[in-house]
Amino acid sequence: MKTKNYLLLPVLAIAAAFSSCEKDTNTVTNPAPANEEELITTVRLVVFDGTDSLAFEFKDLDGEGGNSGSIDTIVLSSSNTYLYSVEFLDESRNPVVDITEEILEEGDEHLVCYNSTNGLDISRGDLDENNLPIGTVGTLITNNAGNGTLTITLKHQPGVKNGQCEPGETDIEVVFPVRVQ
Amino acid sequence: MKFIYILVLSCGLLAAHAQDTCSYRLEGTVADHDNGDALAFAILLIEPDGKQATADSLGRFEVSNLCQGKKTVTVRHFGCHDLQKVIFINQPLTTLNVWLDHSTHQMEEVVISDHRLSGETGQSVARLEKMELLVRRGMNLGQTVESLDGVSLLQTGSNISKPMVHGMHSNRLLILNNEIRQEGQQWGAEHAPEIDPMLAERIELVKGASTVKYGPEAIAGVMLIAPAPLPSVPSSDLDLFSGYQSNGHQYTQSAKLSGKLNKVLPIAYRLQGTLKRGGTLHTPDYKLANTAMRELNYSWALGYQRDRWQTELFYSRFTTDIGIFSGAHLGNTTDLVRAYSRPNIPDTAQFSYDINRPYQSINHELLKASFQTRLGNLNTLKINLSRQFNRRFEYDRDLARNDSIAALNNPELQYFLTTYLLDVEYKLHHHNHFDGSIGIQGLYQFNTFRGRQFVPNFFQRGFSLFAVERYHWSDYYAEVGARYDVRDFDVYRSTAQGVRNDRRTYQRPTLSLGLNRRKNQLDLGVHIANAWRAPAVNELYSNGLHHGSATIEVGNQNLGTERVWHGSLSLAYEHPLIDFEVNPHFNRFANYISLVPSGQNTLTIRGAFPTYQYVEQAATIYGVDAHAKASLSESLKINLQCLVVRGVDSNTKQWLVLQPADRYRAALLWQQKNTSVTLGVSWVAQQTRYPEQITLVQQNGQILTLNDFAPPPKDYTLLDLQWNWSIKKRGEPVVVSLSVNNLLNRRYRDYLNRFRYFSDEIGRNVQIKLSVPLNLRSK
Repeated sequence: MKTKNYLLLPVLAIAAAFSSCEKDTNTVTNPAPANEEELITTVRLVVFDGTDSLAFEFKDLDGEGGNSGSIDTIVLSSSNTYLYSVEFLDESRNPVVDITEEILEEGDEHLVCYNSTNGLDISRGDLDENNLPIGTVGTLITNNAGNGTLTITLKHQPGVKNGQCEPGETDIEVVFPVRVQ
Repeated sequence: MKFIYILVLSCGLLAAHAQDTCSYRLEGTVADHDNGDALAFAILLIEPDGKQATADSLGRFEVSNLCQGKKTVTVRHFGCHDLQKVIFINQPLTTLNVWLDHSTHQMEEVVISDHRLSGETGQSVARLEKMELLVRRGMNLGQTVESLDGVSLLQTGSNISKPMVHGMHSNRLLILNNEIRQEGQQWGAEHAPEIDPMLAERIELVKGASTVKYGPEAIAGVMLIAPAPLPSVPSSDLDLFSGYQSNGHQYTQSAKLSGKLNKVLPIAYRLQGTLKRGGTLHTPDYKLANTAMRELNYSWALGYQRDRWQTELFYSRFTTDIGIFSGAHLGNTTDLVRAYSRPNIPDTAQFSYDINRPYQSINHELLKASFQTRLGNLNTLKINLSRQFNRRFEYDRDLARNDSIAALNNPELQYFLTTYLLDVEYKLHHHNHFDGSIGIQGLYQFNTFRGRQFVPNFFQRGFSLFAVERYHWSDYYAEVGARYDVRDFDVYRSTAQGVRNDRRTYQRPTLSLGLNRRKNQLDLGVHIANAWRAPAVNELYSNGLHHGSATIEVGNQNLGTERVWHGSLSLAYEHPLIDFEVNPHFNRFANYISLVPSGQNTLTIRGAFPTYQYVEQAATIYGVDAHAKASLSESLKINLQCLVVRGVDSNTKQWLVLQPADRYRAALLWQQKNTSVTLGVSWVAQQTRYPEQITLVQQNGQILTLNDFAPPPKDYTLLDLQWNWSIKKRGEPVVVSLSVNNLLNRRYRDYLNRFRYFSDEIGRNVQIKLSVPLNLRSK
């Protein structure tokens, strides 16, 4: 019987070996800078009417939470046709990271959607490998003068992209005030 | 069987005149000789009358209709050998106080001393005993305790649940796991307690503010989770468990080896492990994508005892990965509106045991050393020293678009929390009617984060002193307790301007009074307490987007201490044919810390989010929980249970958010020999009491004011069925159980489930369980 007892000792030794206490290797008094794996701080809409190019930005350098972002008013002239491009940037880093490139690389999972309340006519000019639009570049046509808004939405649609804005998760949604004059 | 006992006194009140032969009564208490603690649920057998009695939670018992003459009283208590005493009954009322000395069974004492009721006099205590826990094996902690009076479940999907007592949870409900305060990331509603209930042999829930004995976090109550005591005699036992649940094809395997070595090396030991794996869950209509989970837990304990002292070393590790239903991860409020207005979720998900993003990965370690010694004959000193390490990783739904970052597959949120606790308690028995305890507690804790900063780095230091005195006379038990706590936070935040350091200290006294009276199977308790807690770090400093609720949560550094006056009654009646308990409670908060919509919105690149801020409210939470059990016949019982809670902001008269809806349950229990069958029906009302006005910003900038993102779900009725078969094998039961939850496969949603916006609750769930104890070496 006694031998049986001592057979249990190795079992206990194994148990003890399994319980190497984990340690926190970080320093409390020196927190690592808060770090999002991916942060988009800036949406920049650039329009080009053949001679001049104009840029309008939404910018929130500290990300979600903290301070609110700032936003430009888009000012365009009426009954005009522009080429547009939209850029998504992380300006919290140095050098600035251009996330638009990553979006184009994974074009079959992304769609940029536009929703205007004062008659801006936007057609997407780029296609993904499945011949579905992506929407980072295209044409923008203004109609009558007036005020309104333009909502730019970046949808992440892995596996569900069908050309519509409905499926997927919203990665970005920015509402620009618009003045057409 | 060298069991020593001391019979302290046997005195009765004199009868005015002689009684008829068989109308004598015997009553008294069973207590621990060493420290005066009541020994709850001791069983007394009185021969030759063949009568039986069970001591109540305060160790008191009562036997009536005894005949005159010589009796042999056998006293049995959990983990102890039987004790016999011969007494003479020749008066109408005889009092018998039994004091058990555990000097040869010190190991049991570790747990028996958990029966201590100082700090609990007058309070209502709900319990799960060994057998009830056996048939609940395989469930998580929340599900295990859900059936207790006063408990509701706060859920995040179906795999994450945490207990809520009288409408309060997280920072307001203390969990003591094997005597140690559980220090995980308990502040979050989607952070389930990191505890394996498989090791527990007894779970007690002390309801109402219990802060004097247990510390500021016990504002709603305290849940005590106790493993079985280490064996006290040379033996070796193996306990095996296998469980299967049909929903998600979840398997649970658990084994526990415990014993004690021979006299050469009289060390008691226990080694235990649990392995659990579950796949995609399903509602009655569709599978819930990415709801697989896995869990691996193990623990060991070693104990050694000498005449006057004993020591124990305990280690446990809990690890789990839990998939989060992918339909519940939100980009912004537009996604939220779309998610809950979605009429049907197509059943396109595939069944799988794989866990994909989003998911949580959690690891919790506890190392505890305890030492207990007797000082004098009746006093004990107990010291617990522990270290806990909690690591919490949360993975978002999507990887970063940058391939090199994505390749790292880092969790977006990482917390590391380390906690050292010291508890010293000295229990003294001064006099027949008085006993008390004094203690000091120390806390040293530090937290760090990586990735997203939702709560910052901090040190927390705490120091507490407490004293409790109990007086027992005749039918009465009175208790008074006081405590003083100091909590100090030293916070290091990462900001754009560099590291910011904040220091704040909170301190206050706590008081409590309790009174119990037991007479004629009726137990009446009153408990009054003035309690407080310091604001938690998330309430002070959290700042960021909560993806599960599409809100920005902002901490408030100006929060003061939360203070409450608590009052409760407990009325219990116990009789073989009928027993019931009613527990009305009332909490008046001077400074209730709660997360409310600020009316402001934060504009982010994902759109505007409603901003919620932590504020102090004057709040009142009151309610009643009750149960009644009645025997309809020899083998048929009916059990009724109800839970009603109301929470109101005393100033604005608005209802508080996330309070449990009224809940009623009726069950029929049929029992014969080794078999029992329970058929239960539960009805949960629609929650009609919730705060009005939540502002929501729509895609076009329009601001909507809603009662909630979505109205609380409709009421629902669920049926459940359970069949148990058990047979005792050398004292330990072999248990086979088959149970079905949501028997009719009903579609429903629950107000307290955060995922009610996105999906139904899971459908019918059949569980099959088998527990087998194996005696490797007899005692």
